[in-house]
Amino acid sequence: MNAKMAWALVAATLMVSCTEDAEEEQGVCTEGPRVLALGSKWTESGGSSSLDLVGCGKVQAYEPSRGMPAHSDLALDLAGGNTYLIDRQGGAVTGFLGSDLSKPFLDVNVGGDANPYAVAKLADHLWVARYGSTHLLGIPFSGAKADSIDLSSYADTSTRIPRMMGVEVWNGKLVVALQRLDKSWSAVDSSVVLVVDPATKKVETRIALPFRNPEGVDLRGNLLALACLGGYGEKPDAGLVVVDLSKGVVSTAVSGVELGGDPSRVAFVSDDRVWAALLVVKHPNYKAVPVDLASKKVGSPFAEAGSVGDLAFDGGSLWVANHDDASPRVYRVDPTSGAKTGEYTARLAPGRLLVLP
Amino acid sequence: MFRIVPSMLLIVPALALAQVDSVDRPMDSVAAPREAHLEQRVVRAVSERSGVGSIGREELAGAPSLAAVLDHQSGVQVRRAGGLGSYTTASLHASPAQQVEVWMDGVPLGGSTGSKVDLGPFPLEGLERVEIRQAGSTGAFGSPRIDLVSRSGWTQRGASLRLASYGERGVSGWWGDDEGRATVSAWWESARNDYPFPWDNGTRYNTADDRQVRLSNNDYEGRGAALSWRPTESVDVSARVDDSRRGISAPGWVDPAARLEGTSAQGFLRWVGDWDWKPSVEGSGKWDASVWRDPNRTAGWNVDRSADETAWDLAARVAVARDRGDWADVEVAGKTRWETSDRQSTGNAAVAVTPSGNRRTLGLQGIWNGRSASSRWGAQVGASTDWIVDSRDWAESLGDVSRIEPLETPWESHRVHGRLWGRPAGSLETWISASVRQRAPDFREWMGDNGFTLQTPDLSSELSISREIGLKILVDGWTGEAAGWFQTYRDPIEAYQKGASPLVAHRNAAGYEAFGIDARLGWEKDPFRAAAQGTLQDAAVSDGNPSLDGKRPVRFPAWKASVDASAGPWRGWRAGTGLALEGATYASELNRATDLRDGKVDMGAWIRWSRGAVSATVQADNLFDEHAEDWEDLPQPGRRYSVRLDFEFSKPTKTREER
Repeated sequence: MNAKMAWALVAATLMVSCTEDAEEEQGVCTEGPRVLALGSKWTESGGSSSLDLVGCGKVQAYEPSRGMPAHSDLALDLAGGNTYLIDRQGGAVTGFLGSDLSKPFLDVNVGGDANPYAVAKLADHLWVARYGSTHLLGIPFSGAKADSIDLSSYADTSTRIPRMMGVEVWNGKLVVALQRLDKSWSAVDSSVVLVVDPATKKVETRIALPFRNPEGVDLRGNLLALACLGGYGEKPDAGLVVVDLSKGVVSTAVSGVELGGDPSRVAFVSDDRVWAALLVVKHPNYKAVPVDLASKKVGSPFAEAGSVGDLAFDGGSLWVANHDDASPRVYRVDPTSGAKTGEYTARLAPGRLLVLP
Repeated sequence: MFRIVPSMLLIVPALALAQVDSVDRPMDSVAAPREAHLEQRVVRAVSERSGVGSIGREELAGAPSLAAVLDHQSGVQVRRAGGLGSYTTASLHASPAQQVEVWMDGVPLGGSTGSKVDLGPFPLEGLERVEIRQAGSTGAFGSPRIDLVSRSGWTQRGASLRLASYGERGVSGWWGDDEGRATVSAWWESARNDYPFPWDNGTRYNTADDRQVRLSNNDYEGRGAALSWRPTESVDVSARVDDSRRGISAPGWVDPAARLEGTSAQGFLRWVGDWDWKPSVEGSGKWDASVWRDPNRTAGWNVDRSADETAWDLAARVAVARDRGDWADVEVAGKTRWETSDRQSTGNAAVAVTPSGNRRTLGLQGIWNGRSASSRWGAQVGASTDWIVDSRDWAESLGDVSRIEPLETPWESHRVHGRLWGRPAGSLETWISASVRQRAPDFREWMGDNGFTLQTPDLSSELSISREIGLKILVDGWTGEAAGWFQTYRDPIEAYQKGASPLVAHRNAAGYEAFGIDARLGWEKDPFRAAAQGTLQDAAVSDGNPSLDGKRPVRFPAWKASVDASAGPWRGWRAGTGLALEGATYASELNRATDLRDGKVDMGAWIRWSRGAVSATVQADNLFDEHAEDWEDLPQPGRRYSVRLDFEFSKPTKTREER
């Protein structure tokens, strides 16, 4: 795969200079906070996906010039100031310069079954967390041969696949979150966070999480928050975790019982306060709630969104994606009061949000 | 090339209309003599039941698959997931595929209110005839319907062998007694199906990594046998056994170990009394057992590692009918049906769920069928009601299935139908029909099945309204038929993919309206024959989401057309060609320009040599090596070559019809 990938990378790198015919970013909102909402709708033929730009008080279709994949299994990420559209089903990662979706500069397949989840830029590499692979993949922007770091020894022994679901850059290192599900897709062992030095490919720190099956991560300074779904169904292995990377320890742990649901997404709004999306099985729905990390006190949920798919914080406002076909909306919320300050109807139910630079 | 076709579609019905008064020939004479079966591929056997398309043995023998046969028909939309034997569904007049009832030898293959039947694993070698009934032609009792008739060899016996691309092999044989009272047939076919196709590697901008890929684990094997017996004039008995085995794989979803295997056996018995008020009794039974295995890949859902299912479907119908051909003809019928499914599914190693369910149906049907003494015009009005009770011992929450105390849910389904027809001239028939149907969720829709379909217990009834107006003409050497239709679907039950998994569940989807025109035209003048048919159609979704409202459904072409022509026999040689075209479709409900996918072009040609009881055929299909998609990222196989040997020995004593 590496030889083919190297050729692909060469071609992908060349594409940086081949974007003259790409559409210019015309008529697209460029002022104020801008949030990209990845919408999806599942159908028998796989599904539909959309990208909407929420900004300037309106919603605009804002998509790559060659369209969206004809399915819904996608993700969004930001790395090094560039926007990445991640095709989890197809195993492709497409990078766009800045937030201009008319200027692709990287387009590479990281493995048909690799299931890429997230990306992080460190030095001249784009590191890809691949859920279906044993290796963290490093793609050099130079077009050189791809690099990788073997994390299989951190997997559950029944699979040897660590189920890496997130990667972040911290202090010149890579921080990787591993679900460590077993062969039966059950969170039977502890999930972990690894701090990896890409230069030596060594794991410097291994932090076991008190809860299992992280589904959402957010990095703020030295703090890494993880929303752990556990084994689904309000079981005691779900909860919210904050890791202090500078000390290599879990600084805060709030169980799903204390939260009133299993957290699936999390977003910092300050050093001591997060918003989390909670799966409440009894209803069932996903609601967004504020959580004070020091007191572990859970505030009132944001009532209007009953199927919260994602949360994002732009430095001033909290953005809430309501992943509901019948009510496909993105809400702008005051993170302190929880009051709605804006509401936008997306084309398809938004499941991922990305605050653009 | 695509620009030619819309013009042709306009010309075809125009030609038909232009021939209306040329010859006053009784419509009943359209029923094709046996010899005409030989060229049914090019001369559509327009049934005397207007609006019913019949596809005979010759056309079936010349097609690569049942999907390809149906795809050539106007008013039919086929979606298939790959090569021979792969998952295939059909939609009639833009209906949800769930509404299309599929019957085999008088036995329903779907659930009691119609449900999607996988048409993939039905070897053409095991079929004698396929009939397509659109909603406007099914009478009071039916829905859009496809009838499959088992291979039979009344007063004949023979065998056939074929070899084709992608490792395809097939053999079949049939035998009929000299009196035409009994017939037996058996068939077997298999294919590797691991066809190559071009792939962009998932990267839309990076063309350097575009390449050919080859599917794996798509092998298929199908076999079966059928028996028909008519001991007396008033009794028909049939039995059939089918068995299919196939691998399941797709680009982006490669699993070298996923298998779906199924076996079914069915029987049918009918007695019709030969009295003034004709009584009839029908009974049928069907048993299915299937096995789904996916040991190497699961998506976290609790049924996707393995599943075993046993299902029973027993039905009976009692009717009495008056059929004197006047204004007082009526038929009254009562029916009952019992469907069961017992399944054991395993996903997580520690989780094995055993959902069981059954449905009991009791129905009443009544139809008045009047006609003038001259049979120049007539009318039909009918109504049917089904009282249904569903029972299940499971509940679902977030994909998990748990056992509960048996829970019963009552339903009702209703259908009313009206049809007015006239024959102003012997060569011309016109009709107008309408039907309204309230359909309860089908047994298989809420119970799921053993392949990819999960249980969905919280469905609601759907409503369908069909209107059709049509005409059929027969002028010396020409046959023509055209029909306009307008369909309304409210809260249609549709299948959808459950998250990122390969599994499917059902839901009541946004409604839509669809309308279109079907046209068929056939011409014959020995030794030449030609036929053309096509559909112009459009549809618009009614969705509360403004981004989806008014959009065309996914994979819904605005037009399709096919033309077939043949010549011969000349010194034992015959040859023909066919071209099927279909317009572009949207791959997303948003109907963006970037969602447009190319239409289909499928051109084939064949040449046949016959001498005595032996004939040899060489055929090529998909000559342009197109890899059209019916499903997301699932290209079809490319060019296909086949060689076929047929041996047929007839004993022209008394035909079954003559008896």
